[in-house]
This record gives sequence, C-alpha cells and structure tokens, in this order.
Amino acid sequence: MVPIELSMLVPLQVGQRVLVAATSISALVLAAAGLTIIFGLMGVINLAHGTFVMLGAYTGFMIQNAGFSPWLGIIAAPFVVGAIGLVLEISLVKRLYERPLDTLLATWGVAIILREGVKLVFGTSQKSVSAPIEGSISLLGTQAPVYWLFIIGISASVMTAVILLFKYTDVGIMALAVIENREMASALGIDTTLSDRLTFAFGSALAGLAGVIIAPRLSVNAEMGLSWLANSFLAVIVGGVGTFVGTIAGGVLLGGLDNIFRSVLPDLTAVAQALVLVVALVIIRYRPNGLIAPGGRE
Amino acid sequence: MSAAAKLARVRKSPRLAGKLAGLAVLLVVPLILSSSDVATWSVYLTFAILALAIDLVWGYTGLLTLGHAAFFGAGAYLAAKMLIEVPAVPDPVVVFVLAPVFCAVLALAIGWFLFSANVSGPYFAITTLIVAIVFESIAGEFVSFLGGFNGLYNIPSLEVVGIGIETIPMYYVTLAVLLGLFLLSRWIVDSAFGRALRGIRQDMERTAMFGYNTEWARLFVFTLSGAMAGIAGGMYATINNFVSPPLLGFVLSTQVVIWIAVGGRGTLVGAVLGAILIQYLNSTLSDLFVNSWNILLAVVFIAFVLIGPRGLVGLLEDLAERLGLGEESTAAVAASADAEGGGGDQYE
Repeated sequence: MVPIELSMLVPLQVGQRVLVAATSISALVLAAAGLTIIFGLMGVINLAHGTFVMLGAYTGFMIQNAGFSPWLGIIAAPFVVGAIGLVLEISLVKRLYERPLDTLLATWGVAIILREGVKLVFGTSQKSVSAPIEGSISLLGTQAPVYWLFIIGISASVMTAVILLFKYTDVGIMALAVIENREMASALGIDTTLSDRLTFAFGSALAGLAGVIIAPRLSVNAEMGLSWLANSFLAVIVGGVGTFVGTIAGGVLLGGLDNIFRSVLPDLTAVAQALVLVVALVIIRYRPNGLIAPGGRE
Repeated sequence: MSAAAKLARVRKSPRLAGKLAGLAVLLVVPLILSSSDVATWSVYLTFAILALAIDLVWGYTGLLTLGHAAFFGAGAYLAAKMLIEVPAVPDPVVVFVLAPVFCAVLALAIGWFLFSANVSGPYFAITTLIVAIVFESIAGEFVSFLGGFNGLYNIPSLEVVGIGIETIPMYYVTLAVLLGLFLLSRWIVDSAFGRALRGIRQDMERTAMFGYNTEWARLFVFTLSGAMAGIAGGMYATINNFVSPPLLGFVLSTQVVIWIAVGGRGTLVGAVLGAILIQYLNSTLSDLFVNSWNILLAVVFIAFVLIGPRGLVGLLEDLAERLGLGEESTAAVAASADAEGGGGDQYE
C-alpha cells in the first residue's frame, strides 16, 4: 500500500518543490544582482542591502494599505528604494570609497537605523501583502499560483535586461568604464560622480524590486533583512564576484540547496539553512574566485 | 619606582590617569549599587572581556571579525552544560580551563580554515559572520541537548571548594579577570609580536617580507582571542544563570564591534570603555527612548566611523591635550598615538 501511495505522491511533491524553489531563487537572484553591481562591480560592501529588500516589501505594504493597486507597489518600490540608495551614496558611501572596511561598518549603522525606523513606524508585527494576480494553473503535476510564475518571469526578464544593459548600452558601458578606470573615464568626459550615484541607486532598486515581488510569499517584518543580506552576499561570492552569470549560478545553487536540505530535514529548518551556509563557506574557502569568475581575487 | 615617582608619572600621562580613574569607578560600583545591579555590572564586565578579545583581532591585527560571539556563546554553553550535568568537575576548572580551551580549539580550527586560504578583508568579515549565524541556528535547533530557543537555565553560580561566591565577590572576580586579561593584552601588543600584528594590519605583504610568519601570527592572535571570549562566556553563564542562542549570534558580534568603534579601536582601553559605557547607557536610556535609542547609537557609531576612527579615547586625548594636561611633547603624543594604533594607515 505504501509504495503505491509514494509513487502517486512523490511526483506531485517534487513538482511543487521545484516551483517553490524556482520562486525563491528568482527573488534571491534579483537581490543578489543588485549586490553584484554594488559589491561585485563597485567594490562597496553594503550591509544595508538586506534592509533595502525589506524596504521594498514595506513599500508594497504601504501602497496596498493606502488602498492602491498592488501593481503600483511593484512599480513604485524600485524607485523608492533606488532613491534611498541614492541618498546613501551621496551622504556616506562616496566618502568611503577608499576605506572598504569602514564602508562595511557605516552601512551596518545605516541598516540598524532603517530597521529600527521601520519598527518605530510600523511596529514589530508581521505584515502580509496580497499578490496582484489571483488564481492558479496546473503545471508540473501540481496547482501553481499564477503569481509564482509571474515572479519567475519578471526575474528572468529583468536579469536579461540588466545583462544587456551593462553589455550593450552606452549608460551601462560608461558605468563599467568608470569602475574600471576612473581617471581615464573622467578624461574622456564621463561624469564619474553621476555615474557612481546612478550605478549605486540602480543596484539598490533591484533589491527593492526583489523585496516587493516576493512580499506576498513572505511574512514581512523589520528583521527580514538579515537573511537576505547573508544570502545575497553568499550568492555573489559563491558565484564569482562581479559577473551576473556567476550570481545567477550562485543563487540557483544556494536556493536549490536550501530547498533540498529543507525537504530532507523538514523538522530542522534552521539546521538546513545552516548547512547551506556551511557549503557556501567551504566553496569560498576552496574556490575563492567563485564558481564562474576567472582571474584571481586581489 | 617610588610612590612619588609613580604619582609624577600619572600626572604626566592623562591616558594613565584616565585608566586609573576608570578602574576606581569600577572598584566602587558594588559599594553604591544594589545587589541585582551589581550582577548586571558583572555581565557588563564579561562583555568588556569579549570586546577586549575582538579588539586584539580587529583593532590591532586589522581582521574585522563579525562572528566572535560564536566563541563567547560556545564558552557559555559549554560551562552551562558542564555545571548542570557534570558537577564532579570543579567550577573554576570549567570556567577558567575547559571553556577557554574549548573555544581556543574552535577558533584554531576556524582560523586555520580561513587563514590557510588567505581569506582576508571583507571576505573574512563575511565568513566570520556566517560562522556566528551557523552557531546560533544550531543552538536554536537542538532542543533536547542545548535547550533550543529557550536556552539553558538554572545554571549554578560559581562555587570554589564547595563555597558559593556571592554577587559582590563575583563582581570583583570578574573585574580581576578583566584587569588581568587587559594587562596580558597590553603586554602582547607592546611586544615584538604586537608590532608584527600591527604590521599585518598596515601591510601584510610587507610584514611577511620582513620575515614574519603572518599566517601563524594571525592564527595565534585569533586563537588567543577565542580563548578570551571563552572565559568571558563561561563567566557569563555562571553570573547570569541562563544562556540562550543569541549569545552565539551575529547580532551580539556586531554590537560589540559597534561598542569598540565608539570607544576607540586598537587602543584596548577604548574597547573596555565603549563596552561598559554603551551597555550602561543602553539599560538606562532604552527605557526612556525605546527604539530611538538604537537609532541614536547607530548615528553616533556612523559618525565615529566617518570622522573619528580613534573613538571616544581619541576625543578624550585630544581634549586633554587642548586643556594642556600632561607634559608629553606633541611628538611623544603622536608617537604613542601611532603605537596605540591611532595612526591613519590602518583605514586603507
């Protein structure tokens, strides 16, 4: 009796798990891509990045709470969080480009201010955000909410756009030029200050987008930034600092492992998460350049 | 040195005078406060030991560790388990031998794992951060063995040859341990080995070129620092009689880094000052301001990172100099500031 039941149940569960994993990986890859720009390309260790994801989710909550369509939240969050990133770059980060470890400390201070500020305004209770699309369709032998597919789709298209942006458009190439050789870029007439600001704001906006699209799948609270911060950094480092393809690989690996460990250890969720971190630690130790990136770490 | 000569030395050095004043304050605390407040201050002192341990690794060697609470918590949990379940082992052996040895071994293993691959800079910060998160989740998940999220409670207070140590004597024991470890750290950073550590902070390749084994030096200071954190954790368990997973975690680790940054990194005394002062303000002001206290502290922290990397100690020294206290020449002050790690070169 048991084997028959298993054979019926397992494909269903696997299909569901794959969808759950793909959805969480999609949001992680978006947040991590923001960090690939800020940490990987610009070299800024922004410990407020996880808080930016949280702020994206809260933007969605606020707009929905004010009675507007959740779609407006998804459109607004990247701009709101991008603007906050812009303010952070202008006020703090630009003074610390030569002092990476101090950037790390200062942005951690910013993360605390934002987190405690959100607690002051919204309290410590969990908020729920409703998805803009209802309904589900049959897929992979299971009922999949349409919104999950929307998350996967938006993440895939935004990632494609980001890669194309930095590869083919003038703005993207200018940003890379400034990061590569500031003096030379400046001599060629590029406004390096403006370029830094926009690049940083763009990376922050991606974190905001990740937060707002995944918000309906999570309980939103002020403390959620930490796990996003840790996972985004790991995805970037594991994949290979500074390449978008590496970040996607890192995100898929970490998100996939997380879901596998969780299904193997259903009663020990925290241990499952810890195991993912240990795997990441071992990869960082033995492949310091990441899984994808060529060249040495300086 | 005669008493008069000592007095003259104190008068000439505002820093020494400040340290003695601080010690005097800590000595009279039990005389003014109620017994429960004295226990709280004992806890402050154990965290000050943790701050001292982190300052050796971060302030002097330039390795920003965001996971040192893992060692503090491991010491606390080990002491708690031993004191509750193995009463045959004398308490002082548990707190002052087993806890530091256990944490030294942990630190040695983690340190070897990271330093042998030359993990440094932001990578070191992020990997140590992960270590703390892993330790905290493991402690939170093992309900039957480590008490899960509820932690371990009813941990017995320290007993020596069957005689329990009361709150106030325990405070002085903790103060003595803090003072002893402070003097030990002072001796280390003033030694040739301490110069090698500062060399690693300023320029690791150059230091290696001068013939120092930088991997061994980093491993040694990290292990020593882990042992110090272990003693602090063990004492915490006996003073607080309760341990829980956040003691191992990332939040405590980063909090202590903030205390050190505000007190003044790379000065030892700044770590102790920052740890005690901020914990005291935390307990007195957080009732008044609740959440906004954390915001205020974060703003102060950012300000020190941005414009005053020498922290409160640096501010006080500048103030003393401006008031014309002390007879050290400007050159001597500059030299001692450099020796104390106040030079600008570490913030590259």
